[in-house]
Amino acid sequence: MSTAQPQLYKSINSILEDLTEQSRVLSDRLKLFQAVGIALIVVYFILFVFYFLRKMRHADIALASAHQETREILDNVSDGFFLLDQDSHISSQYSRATENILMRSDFAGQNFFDVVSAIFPVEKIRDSIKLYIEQLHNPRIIEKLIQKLNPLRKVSAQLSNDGSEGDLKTLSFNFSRVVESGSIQKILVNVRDITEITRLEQQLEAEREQSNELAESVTQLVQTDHSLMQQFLQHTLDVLTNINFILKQPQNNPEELREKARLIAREIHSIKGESSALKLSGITHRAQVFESLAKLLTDKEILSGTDFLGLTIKLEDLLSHVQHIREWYDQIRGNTTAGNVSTTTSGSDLSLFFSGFVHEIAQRNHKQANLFTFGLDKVPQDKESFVALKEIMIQLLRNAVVHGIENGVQRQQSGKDVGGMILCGFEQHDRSARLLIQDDGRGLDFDAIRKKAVAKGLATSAQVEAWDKIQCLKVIFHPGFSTAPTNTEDAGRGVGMDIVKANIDKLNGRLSIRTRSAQLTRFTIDFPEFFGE
Amino acid sequence: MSMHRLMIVDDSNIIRKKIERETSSLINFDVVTVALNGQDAVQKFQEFRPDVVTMDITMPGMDGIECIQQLVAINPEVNILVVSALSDEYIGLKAMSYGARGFINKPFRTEELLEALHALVSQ
Repeated sequence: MSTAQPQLYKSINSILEDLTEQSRVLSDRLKLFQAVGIALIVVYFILFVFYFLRKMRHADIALASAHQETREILDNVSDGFFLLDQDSHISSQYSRATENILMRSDFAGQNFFDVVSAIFPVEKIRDSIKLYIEQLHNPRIIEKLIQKLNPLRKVSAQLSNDGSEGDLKTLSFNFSRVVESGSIQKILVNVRDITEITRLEQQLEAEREQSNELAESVTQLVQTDHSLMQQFLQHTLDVLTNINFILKQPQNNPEELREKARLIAREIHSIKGESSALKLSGITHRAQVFESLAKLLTDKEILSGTDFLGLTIKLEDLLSHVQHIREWYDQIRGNTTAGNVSTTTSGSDLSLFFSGFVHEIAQRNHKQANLFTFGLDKVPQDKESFVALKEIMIQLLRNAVVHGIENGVQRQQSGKDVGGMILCGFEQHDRSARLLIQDDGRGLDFDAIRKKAVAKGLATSAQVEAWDKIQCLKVIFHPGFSTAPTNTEDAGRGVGMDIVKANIDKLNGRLSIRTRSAQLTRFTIDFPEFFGE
Repeated sequence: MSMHRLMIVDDSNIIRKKIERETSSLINFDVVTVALNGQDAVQKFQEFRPDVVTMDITMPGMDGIECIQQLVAINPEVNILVVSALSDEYIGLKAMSYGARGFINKPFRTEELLEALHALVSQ
C-alpha cells in the first residue's frame, strides 16, 4: 500500500502536468485566434472607413459639381427664376438675371409680397397677387385654368437701383406649382423683361391701326366734297405748322409756358372739330390725344420747357399722319400741287357738311337732332374769313347738340319732339353780315355755369351768387371753361367758346346771346364791315 | 366613363346657346339645365343636381360671385368654371377663393371651353 501510493501521486501529477500543458497550448491557440480575429476586424474596419470616406468624398465632389452646374445655369439663364416656399419667402438660390431684371440684389429670404409692393406700389396689385398665390396653393384649383387671372402676367414698372426715377419696363411673371409626393410644396416663379417685345407689338399694332385708319380715310376722302377736304387738309397743315412754331418759341416763365399750352390746346381743338365732322377718325383721335396732353400741361402746377417734349412727339405723329392723308388724297384726286386750295365750296356743300356733322355728334351723344340752314350759299369764299366763320359754326353747332339739345326722353317729358331742331343761317345786308345759330334745347344753365366757375377757381361762391346773366355769359368764354362733366371727343376740355370769341374778334364781329330755359338758345353774331369796301 | 351633368349660367342668350352647342359634341357631358342669373341658378342647382357648372360673373340680380358661394354651400364638390369677360383679375380670383376651380375669358374658342371642361372633371 505504501509503495503504491507514491506511484499513484506520480501518475496523477503526470496527468495534471499533461493536462496543464494541453490547456496552455489550447489557450495559446485561442489567444492566437483571438488576436487574428481582432486584427481581421480592425483591418475590415479600416477598409470600411476608407471605403466610406472615399464614397463620401465622391458624393461631395458630385454634389459640389451639381451645385456648380446649378450655379452656372442660374448665372447664365436670361430669365429670372426663384422659388417661393409655403409662406411666400424667396429661396436662397435664384438666377442672376432676377437681379438684373428687377434691379435689386437682396432677394434671398425676402417675402415676395414685400418685393412686389416695392416694385408696384399699388395696393390692388399686392392684394391680387396674394390671392393668386393662395389659389396656386389650393389643390382644388386647376393650375392652367387660372393662368389668365395672374395679375403680374404683363405689368409695367419704373425700376432703378439708385433711387432715381428709372426706366419704364414691361415685365412678365409666371408662376407654376412644384409638386412633391403629391402635394404642392413650392411655387416656381419665372420673371421676364418683355419691354422690347411689347414695344415691337405696340409698333405693329400702331402700324396696323394706321393702315386701317388710312383705308377708312380713303373712303371718306372719296366721298367728301373736294373743296371742303382740300381746305381742311391745307388748314390743318397750316395750324400744325403754327403749333410747331409756337412749340419752338423759347419761354421760361411758368405763366408764359402755361399760356403757350393754352394756345396750343385751342389751336388743336379746331382741327379736332373739323376732322370729326369729316369722319377722319385717325386725325380726330390723334388731335384728341394731343389736346388732352396740352390741357394736362395747362393744369400742371409746376411747368417747365421739358414738359412740352411729349407734345412735340405727338405733333410729329399728327403731322406725318396728315401729310400721309394729304398725299393719298392728292393721288386719288390726281392733284399734285400741294397748297392749291380751291375756294369754290357751295352753300349746299356747307349745308350737307354741317348736317352730317350735327347728325354724327347727336348719334355719339345718344340724341336726335336735325339741322336747318339758310343763306349758307352767301358765305364768302375768301379763305381767311371762311375758315374763321366755319370755325365759329363748328363750335356753336357742336355746343348746340352736346349742351343744348336734350335726349329723347327729356324732350318728350318737356312736351317737345324727340328730335331737336337746330338752325344755322347767314344773312348779308350791304356790307354787314349776320350769322345765326339757334337750338330748341334746354337753354343755358346759369346755375351750372356758376358752379363750374367756382370749381374752376374763377370766382368765389359769394361772388357768383351776385352774378347776373351777363356776367355768367362772359365767363363761358374764359379759356378752359366747360360745364361738361367729362372729357369726350365732343366736349369737356373747355376749349370751344374761346375759339368762337377769338374768331369773332378776328372778323371784328359782335355777339349777342338769347336764351330761354327749356326753350331755346340763340347766338347772333353781327359783322358790320364783313364785306368791306 | 361617367356622365357629367352640366348647368350653364349666363344672362346672355347667345352665350348660353354657344356653350350648349359646343358641348353637344362631348359624349360625357349632358346639359341638364340653363339659368339666366344667380337666383335662377341656385334654384335649378337644387332641382337638377348638376356636377359641373359654367358661371358668368356679371349678371342682373344675384351675380356669379354670390351664386358660387351658394352653390358650394349646397355641394362643396361641385366643379365650377367661370366663363366671363373680366377687366379685373381680382374678381376672378375672388370667385376661385369662393370655390370655383377655373376660369376662361369671354370671348373664348371652342377648344378652350372643351379643354377646360375636360380638365375640370379629370383632375
